[in-house]
Amino acid sequence: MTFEEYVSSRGPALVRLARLLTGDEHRAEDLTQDVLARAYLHWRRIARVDRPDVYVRRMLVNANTSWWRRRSSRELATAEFADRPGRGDLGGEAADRDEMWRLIRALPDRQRTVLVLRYYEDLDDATIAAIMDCSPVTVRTHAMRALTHLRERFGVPMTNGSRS
Amino acid sequence: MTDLDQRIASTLRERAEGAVDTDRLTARAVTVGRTRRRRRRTGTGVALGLVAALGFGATTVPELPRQLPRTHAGPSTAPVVPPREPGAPGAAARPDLVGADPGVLHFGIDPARARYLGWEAGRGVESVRLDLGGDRQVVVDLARTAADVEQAFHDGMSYSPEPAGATGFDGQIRRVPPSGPGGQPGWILRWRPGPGLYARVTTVAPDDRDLRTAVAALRLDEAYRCAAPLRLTALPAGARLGRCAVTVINFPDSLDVQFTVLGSKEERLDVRLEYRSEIAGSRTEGNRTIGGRPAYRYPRGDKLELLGIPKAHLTVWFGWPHQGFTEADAATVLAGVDLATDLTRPDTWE
Repeated sequence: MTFEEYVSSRGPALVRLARLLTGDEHRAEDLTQDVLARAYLHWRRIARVDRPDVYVRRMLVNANTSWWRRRSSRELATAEFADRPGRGDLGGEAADRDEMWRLIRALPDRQRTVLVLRYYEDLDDATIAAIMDCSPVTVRTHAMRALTHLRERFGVPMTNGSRS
Repeated sequence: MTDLDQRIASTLRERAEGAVDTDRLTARAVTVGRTRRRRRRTGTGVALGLVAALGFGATTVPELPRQLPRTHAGPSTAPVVPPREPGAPGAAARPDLVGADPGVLHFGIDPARARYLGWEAGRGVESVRLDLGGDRQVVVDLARTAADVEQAFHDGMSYSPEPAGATGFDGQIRRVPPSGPGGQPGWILRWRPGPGLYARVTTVAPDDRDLRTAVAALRLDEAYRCAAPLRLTALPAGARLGRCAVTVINFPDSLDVQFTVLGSKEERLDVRLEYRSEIAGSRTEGNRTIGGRPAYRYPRGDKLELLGIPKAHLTVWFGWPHQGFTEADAATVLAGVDLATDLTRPDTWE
């Protein structure tokens, strides 16, 4: 697979993943472009690995973590999803999703990353662990903490069926 | 899946949605990737040049057509400075002209305080990269709008924050912590140097001293030409020069020039001159002839190179990702390239 073929097929998914990781549409595009530019430099090597997409998503997660550390100290995001126009008159479900999003965004970045990879990318714990460079046990710990926090804040009763 | 699982999944799906311009994403990733690769090759080339000097791997320099420049002898070592454009006003007097003409920079730098490493103009923004001594580099961007400043990207200034709106140009120096152990912090200053003007200074350094030096060196009452050792004398019908960028970071050992040609719609092609003093030989046999000179169309089909220029590659990138122009258009541009007689003599650049 050439680099261009990869970006053509997986680029949009990477941007969408970056939107969830950053919570900032503009930053998501910048982050994805920066990661892809670095991937371009090493593409022959990346294309030879077993799962190139896991490798690139790992680059994206790591790049976001670095940026998140920088952002948290000084720079403030200027274009949050919450600033999107036309969302003022929300129905019940939409309002619920807005509240859920606010809670997800407030999670520590590792916990949020696990939720995004598990619930949006629908990846198993072993793959998430490979992307986040940690063990599957750590992935499950992050997930459990995140879900516990969301249940408490969102008023959802504890169940045994959750993917935690 | 529980109710909570479903709520999380639906929330994330909703928040991730939205169109993605794949072509733009790919184009920018490739452009930035290629730029970074070129810079890496510069470093590699120095090592290869050293090997050649030690006597390993002798290479024959091809015979040159008469009209092409000769190899430099005794290259210039003086700082390279873009020449004044006395007929043009500075940004302070005519802010509306900033970024509008790819041939002119509407500001300058006090040469006693900083050395030029590169300059760019066109598509709304004008930029200079400066050396303040001791490997300390600063980039200055000037434009008519905040958005134009923020869309400027500079290789190596990896601390770019998220874009600022107009109110973010508040004269405050911002520190961006290093991204990893041993790294240096980034420093950014955005301000309004005059009515109708937005400026940004960026550096990566231990402190903000260089930012202050660069601001003090700024001259908004002068104009300079985006001087380069080549001119484009012929463009495809309806096309215009959109951007001029010259990099002299390692001059006279290396030199990079890029002209962007824009069509009436979305068409774009890039003309690139890459000079490397360590290049000992290049392709000599072409598969095309342009203006009586050998040229080579690369197998991928999106790049045309004019051959026979010593220690340099002169190419036109006309295909993917910038669709619109044809090989014939690229040949038109290459046929009209007017090269300086000595690439390493800035006093001959136009």
